[in-house]
Parts: sequence; C-alpha cells; structure tokens
Amino acid sequence: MKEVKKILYAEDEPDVQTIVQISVWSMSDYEIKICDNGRLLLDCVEEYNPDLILLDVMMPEMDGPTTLKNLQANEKTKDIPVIFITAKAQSHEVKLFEETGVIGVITKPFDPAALCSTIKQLWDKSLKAS
Amino acid sequence: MKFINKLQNIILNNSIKTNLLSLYSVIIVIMSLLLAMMLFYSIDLNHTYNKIMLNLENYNKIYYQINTVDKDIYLNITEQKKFNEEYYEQIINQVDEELAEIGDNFDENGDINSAASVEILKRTVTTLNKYINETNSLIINNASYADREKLLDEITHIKDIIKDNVQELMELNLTQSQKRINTIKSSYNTALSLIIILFIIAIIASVSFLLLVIKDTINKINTVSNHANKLANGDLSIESIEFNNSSEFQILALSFNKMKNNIKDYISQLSSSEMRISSILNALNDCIITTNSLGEIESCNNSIKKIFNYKKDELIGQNINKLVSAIDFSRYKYDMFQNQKLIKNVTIIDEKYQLEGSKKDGTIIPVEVSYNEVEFEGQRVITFIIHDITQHKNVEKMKDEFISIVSHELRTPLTSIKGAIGLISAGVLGVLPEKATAMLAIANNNCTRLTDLINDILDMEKIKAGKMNFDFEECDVIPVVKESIEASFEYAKQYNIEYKVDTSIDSAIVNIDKRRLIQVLFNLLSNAAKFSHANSVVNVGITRIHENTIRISVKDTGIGISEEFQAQIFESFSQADSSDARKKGGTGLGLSIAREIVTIMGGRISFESKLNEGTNFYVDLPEKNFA
Repeated sequence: MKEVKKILYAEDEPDVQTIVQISVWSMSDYEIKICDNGRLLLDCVEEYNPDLILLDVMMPEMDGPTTLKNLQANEKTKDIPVIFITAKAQSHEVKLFEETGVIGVITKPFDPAALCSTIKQLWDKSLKAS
Repeated sequence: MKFINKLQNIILNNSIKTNLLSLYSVIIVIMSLLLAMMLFYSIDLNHTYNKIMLNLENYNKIYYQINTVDKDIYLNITEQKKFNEEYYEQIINQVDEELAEIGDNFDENGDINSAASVEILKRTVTTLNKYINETNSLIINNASYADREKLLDEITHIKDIIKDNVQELMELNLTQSQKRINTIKSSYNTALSLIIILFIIAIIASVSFLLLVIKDTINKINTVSNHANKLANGDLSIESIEFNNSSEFQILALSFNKMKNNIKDYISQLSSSEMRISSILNALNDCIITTNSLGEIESCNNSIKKIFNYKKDELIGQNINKLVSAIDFSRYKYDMFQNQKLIKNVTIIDEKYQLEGSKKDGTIIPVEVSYNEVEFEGQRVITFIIHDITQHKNVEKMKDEFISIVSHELRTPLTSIKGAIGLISAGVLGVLPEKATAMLAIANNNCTRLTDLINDILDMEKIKAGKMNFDFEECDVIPVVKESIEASFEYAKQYNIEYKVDTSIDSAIVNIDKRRLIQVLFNLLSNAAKFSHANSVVNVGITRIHENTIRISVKDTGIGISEEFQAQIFESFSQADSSDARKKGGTGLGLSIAREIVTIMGGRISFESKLNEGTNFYVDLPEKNFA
C-alpha cells in the first residue's frame, strides 16, 4: 500500500500556511511544500512530484478548481490525488467540489490537531475505493 | 283641404284602435237611424193599407144599403107601399157614419180633395133622403102613378149619382193611397240607398284610413329601422326618435331610445373599462400575451417592446414559440378530462415555469412563464404571462456570491485563530500551564460556536429563500436515527451523557433527505445532552403512533423549558436564558432550522416539557408504503 510522503499545498493566506505547516510537521512525518497560489503550484508540481496535493479554492492568479483542471489535463499530474481545503463550506458548494474528481473536501475552519488524521482517512478511503 | 288635414291629424294623433272605433261607431249610429226610419215607413205603409181596406168595406156597405133603398123604392112605386121611415133613417144615418169614417180616414191623412169628395157624397145622400121623404109623402097623399114614376126616376137618378160619386170617391181614394204608398216606397228606397251609400263610405273610409295608417306605419318603421341600422353600424351619435303623438309607435320609439341609450351607456362603460384594463396591462412590466389553440399570438401588451424588443404588430399572428421556444403547441389538443401541459421538463416554482426567452436580436434572457386557458364562445384562448427575471437572476446570483464571500471571509480568519489555538492546545509548542489550557479551551469553543453560527445563518438564509436543496430518498428511518446518535456521541461525551435507543418497530420506510434528518436529530440530541444533568441518560425512541406516522422521540431529564418560553422555542435566536446560552453554547437557530427542515420533509416537530423535570422532543414523519 502506497503511503503519503510528499504533500504539495497551494494557499494564499500566510496564517493558514503557517498553521498547516506546523500541524503537518508536528503531527506527521509528511514532507510539505507550500505555494502561494495555483499558478505557482503548477510551476513546481512536476519537479516536486508530490504524492498528494492540497488546494485552497479561492486564491489570486489561479484558483483551486482551475488548478485542478490543469492538473487533470496534464498526463504527468492527472493521477495525483487532490484534496480541497476550502472556506466555501456551504453544503451545495461542498457537493460541487466533491464532484470535480478530488478524493475529499476539508472545510475551513478545520481542527489543526485532526488535520493529518483527516488527510490520512481520505487517502485510505480513496485507495479502498480504487 | 283644411278639414282633411285636421282629420288626418286627428287620425294620426290617435291610436289605430281608437280611430277605427270612432269611425265604426259613427257609421253604426247613422245606420241605426236609417233603419229606424225604414221601420217607421213600413209601419206607416201598413197603417195606410188598413185604412184603404176599411174604406173599401165602407163603400161596400154603402152599395148594399143603396141597393136596399133601390128595391124599396121599386116596391113603393109599383105597389104604392109606404117606406118605412125609421128604417130609412137608420140606413141613412149608417151611410152617414160610414162616410164620416171614410172622411176621417182621409182627414187624418190631411187630404183636402177627398174630404171635398165626402162633402159631395154627404150632400148626395141628403138629397137622396129628401127625395125618399118626398116619395113617402106622395104615397101618403095618393099621388098619381105618373108623379110617382117621375119621382122614382129622379130617385134612381140620384141613386146613380150617389153610386157614381162613391165609385169616384173609391177611385180617388185608391189613387191617393197609391200615391201615399209610392211616397213611402220612395222614402224607403232613399233610406236604403243612403244605407248603401253609407256602407260604401264606411268601406272607402276604412280602406283610406288603413292606407293612411299603413303609410304612416311604414314611415315610422322606416325611421326606426334606419336608426337601428345606424346603431347596428356602430353610429352611436344618432338622435333619439320622436313621434309627436301617443300612438303605439310612441312606445316603440321610447323603447328604441331607451335601448339606444342603454347600448350607448354599456359601450361607454365597456370602452372605459377596456381603456382602464388596457392601461393597466400596458403599465405592467410583465408581458401578457393571448394566443389561440395553435399558439398564434392574438394580442399582447406594450411590455413586449421592453422585454423582447419586438413591436406589437410584428408579433400578431406569429407563433409564441418565436418568443419562448419551450412553449410547444404542436401536440396541444384541448381535452376536457386531460389538461395537457404546454411546457414539459422544466423547473416549476408555484405553477411558474422558468424558461429561456429569445429577444428580437437573438439574445437569450431568463423568463418566468405562467399560463391560463379559458374557453370563450367556443374558442380556446390561452393567456401567457411572461416575466423577465434577468434582474431577479442577477440579484440572486449577486446575493449568492455575497453570502459565499462573506462566509469565506469570516472562515479564513477563523481558520487561523482556530488553527493557532488548536496547535497550542495540542502541545505543539510545549506543555502549557493548566490555566492556559482552560483559557484556550474557551477560545476554541467560541471558535466552534462562531463557525456553527455562520453555518446556521447560511442554512436559515437558504430556507427562507426556499433554496435549500433536498435529496429525498425512501429509506429505513432506524439506521438514520442510529447514525445521528453516533454523530452526537463525541458531543455527548463532554457532558457525560449517554444515549439509549428504544425501538418498538423493526423498520419504517420514510421519504426523507438523510443528511438533513441527521442534522435535525443531531440538534435535538446535542440539545438534550447540553441541557441534561451530568451522568444522566437521554432516551431515544422510535414508535409508530398512527397507522402511517413514525415518531422519533428524544427525552432528557434536564432543566426543562418554562411555560412562558415554550411558545417561542422555535423562533430564531431564542434561548431560554441568554446567560445559560453563553454557558452552554449554541446559536439560537438550531430549533427553527430543525422545524423548517421537518416541515419540508412533510413531518411535524413538537415537544412536551416540565421545568426542572426534563423535555421530550418529537419528530413525526409520514410513513411510506404502509401496508
């Protein structure tokens, strides 16, 4: 069974970047790289070659769904599982995001202590499904 | 001529009936007078005839008596027999009387000649009487035969004179009677001719009167029909008809004028109300279009320009699907029992169809269409009301975006706060003093409360806008209740509360949105935990209370709800005690959201509560396929 080792995260809010970074560092063995927006994520995704991608939805330059479309369009990146972390947490919005082909949606505000276990749960669930 | 004019006026001023009646009564009076005259003449004729008969009888008597005298005279002369003087006197007197009677009869008729004749006769008789007396004295004095014979000749001569006189008298009499009869006859004939003339006059008068009346009637009918024709052609400016008399036509004229005025009134009322309606219709922002059963546009209001940019004239006779292509008349057929839908497979909100309309330049705009069918004089008329919802849609979109952004902007800082607190609490930055941990817990709880509040406000907003989506499915309610309890388990743990499930049924199929029911039950279960005394048990029951109603009950033994507060428990932002709310957390929206959700799912939410004893909440749901 494949394990998550490297995570690539796109998030424009520096505070949230910090919290996610600290949370991942302190709660798991994952390696994490954070980009300020989707455009920058696309620039480094091939080089970094992550096992999992976390995407914020609302970002300047390129938002989450557009980034996802670009990832899915790229032969090299289309198989990388993606999780949305979004403040657009209304049920119909969540439902829309779930239908875009991601393995899960984490709504803000999230519990930083439980972030890594949630990521792992979603990962396991998607593996089981596939 | 003046008289005829006057008569004509009289005739025309009176009704036909009155005119005929007066004419005929005049004729009947004249006829009666003439008939009476004729009757009188016939009586007179009869009377004259009787008198003639009477006189003839008298003449006979006189003859007879004279003949008797004749015989006696002969005897007297041949046998010298004396006359019986008394007897003769008697006879003479009788003749006298009879002559007087004849004279009377003639006198009565005032005929002087006859009376003169009678005088002659009387004198003759007196003469006869004298000679008879002389004869008697001759006999008594024994006169010679020659004297006697001479006297006899004289007597016979007198007798012949008398006879001739009587004969003459009789003839005179007859002639006069004849004359009188002729007079009467001619009078009678005159009367008869008069009657005939009168009759002819009556007929001529009747006919000319009728002709006059008919001519006048035709004139009046022509007047009325001319007016009626003008009225029929829509000329309402015609004058009232005036017939300056009180004939039957006056009533017709009055009725016609009344009818004309009524029609005028109705038409002016109609046009005034049509003007109003058309003004109202044109003032509307919505397009109002009527079509026939083929979908061809028969009329539309001015808004067509505003919404579709077409002129009215461009659309009359066109099919309505030119404007809204989803309206399909191709298979439309009015059926009394099966009202066919003109529009299929589209969103319907309150009988309104949300469709796409095409403007003249081809631009597509969102429209809301409702329609109504009526049958008018055998024709189907379909009225469409088309409402441009572009602005509405834009506002809705903006509102959605606004809510989404607000919620996003609120969540982002919350994420940082909650994340920071969470990381510190988790000991990432090293072990914290006990007091700091407690403070961080408070901060964390309030973060959660704020998040819940945002979620609840968004939910409430959607419910009010009628936009909360429900994914209805038929499922067994028991696993859903169990799932709700599992979801609430963590929450209850912090209050040391346990849930105990008690179900009297094996399964119950309900038509619900699972996620929403879980939301409701989670709310009730967490409330029960929150307001219960620590270490107590919350009882959850599933029962069938009626043949097709499933009741989920959540019973706590907590603080209960005061009677004053029970009435407003489902209102937004109501909590029994604000200080209590702060202590226990919660947004004050949970129960009102729960009630809305249960109502939308066709159920009912209720409760029983006693202060300080506990509360029992019920969610009643209609059961599907209950056999």
